[in-house]
Amino acid sequence: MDKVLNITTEFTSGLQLLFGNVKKHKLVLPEAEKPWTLGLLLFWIKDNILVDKDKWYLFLKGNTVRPGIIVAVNDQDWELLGDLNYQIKNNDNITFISTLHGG
Amino acid sequence: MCSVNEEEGAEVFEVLKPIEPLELKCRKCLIEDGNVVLQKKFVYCKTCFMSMVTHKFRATVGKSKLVNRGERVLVCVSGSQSSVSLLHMIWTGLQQSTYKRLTFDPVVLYIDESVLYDYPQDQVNKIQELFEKYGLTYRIVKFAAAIYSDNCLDEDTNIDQYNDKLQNIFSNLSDLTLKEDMLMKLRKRAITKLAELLKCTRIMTAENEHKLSIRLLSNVALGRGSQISLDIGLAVNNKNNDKTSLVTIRPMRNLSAKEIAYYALFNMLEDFMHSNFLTATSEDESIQKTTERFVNDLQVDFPSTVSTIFRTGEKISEKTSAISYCLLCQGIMDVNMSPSSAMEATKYSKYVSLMGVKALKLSLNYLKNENTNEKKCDGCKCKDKQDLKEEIIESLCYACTHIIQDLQSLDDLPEEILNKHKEKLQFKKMEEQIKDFLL
Ligand SMILES: [Zn+2]
Ligand SMILES: [Zn+2]
Repeated sequence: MDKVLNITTEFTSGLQLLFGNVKKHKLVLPEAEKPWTLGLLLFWIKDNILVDKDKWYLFLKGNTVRPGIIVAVNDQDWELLGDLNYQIKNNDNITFISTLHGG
Repeated sequence: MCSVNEEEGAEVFEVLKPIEPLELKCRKCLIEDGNVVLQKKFVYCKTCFMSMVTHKFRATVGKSKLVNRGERVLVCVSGSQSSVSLLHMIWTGLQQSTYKRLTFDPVVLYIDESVLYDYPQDQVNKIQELFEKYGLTYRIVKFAAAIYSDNCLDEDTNIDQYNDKLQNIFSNLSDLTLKEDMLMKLRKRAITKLAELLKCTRIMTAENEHKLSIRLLSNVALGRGSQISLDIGLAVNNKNNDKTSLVTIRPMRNLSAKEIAYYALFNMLEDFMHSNFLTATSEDESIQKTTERFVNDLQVDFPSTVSTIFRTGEKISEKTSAISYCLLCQGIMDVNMSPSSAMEATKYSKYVSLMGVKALKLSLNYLKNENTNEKKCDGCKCKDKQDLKEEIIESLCYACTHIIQDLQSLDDLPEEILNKHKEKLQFKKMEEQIKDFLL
């Protein structure tokens, strides 16, 4: 039981369009061999909660988020946390903000 | 920017990648842990970040005393993150005590564009709730009403008809780039009209540095180069209207998209869907999105891309000699150009494609002996419509002619445009008639 992670993700400023117009998502990340990092989470999101699957390229580019999308963990810039390598903790609140115009 | 020196070029690129780990403490107070990194190197804590952003906003508003005490200011809120942040900044400024307080009289405006896109059904209600919470004077107006109705501040019984007209305009434009350009121009038209109706002499819009630099580059690509200062400037006087001096102010223009994103995050500001025709479209379908990708991709490795573009754009100032304004976008028209300019060339090729081979024959005939001057395809109305199109194009700027060319029918254009056009035509005729008497 302790091995799963409960987290919240938020998609704002137009990104929610790709997630069925829902901004806040409570997620349970299953137990995994490797520790959960933001890098792994991005692809898990793509496979599991992205609704508009054809438009995944509006969320990801290469192995990271599309340029113009800002990522914060508990109100802290992911650039301060090691970007993709940040290890997700229980109860983390991860926000994705689009700065693209019109979403 | 990077140097052009070939051998050193590679090194310059590498230096720009961050090599040292980021300082984790705030660069201002040196005590708190950082929350935000700006331009990949400046670390701020929440408190210092907020005061820095607020200061930038206030400095822009305060610059050269743009707004007088008690002046009515139309604050345009689209629901976007930038605009809800603008509203919050203004509201905060109005609450402050003594000398720091903002002293103008805001009228908050939301233009409801839901007829054009799939918005969540309750969006307008949510926006109304937000406005109520702030307790400022506000107005919510339907986009189509603002474009077509004379009394758009009241409920108009013809709203369904107006909605149809508005939808027609956009469904009659096939090109995504032009569609988006038209949308921008109609929004501007609606805002200007509402400002006048609401007796506001200042307009505040929420474009940030990022958005303005993309607009700057798109404008150049669209052939709106001469209108840049109107579209991105801090304070732009609407000289088109003599009666009122309507000034548009962009108080967020010195803030980056990231600064605004974190301002909204730290203040827990909820934003709303604010779509346009390019929302969730792929990047190579339109000039505007291509430009946006170009800027964003550059920004990843060169964090000063946006501010460099932006500062370059600021140096471009409008030609004061311009006296002619476009009927559709109210932008400056390039009129004093040599006949061989790109504009003339495009005009000619458009003319030919519009009129078909007939035009070519006509102009050849004209060159030969000028005697076949009456050869019309009589009977059908296409000629009249074509004539109207060409006449209207005379009163448009270079970029707007493209929109009108692409537009299948002119019937749904706002009446002011068609009427003003008639006025202009009458005036021209009169000038023709009396020119012999003028010495
Ligand atoms: Zn600090
Ligand atoms: Zn124009």
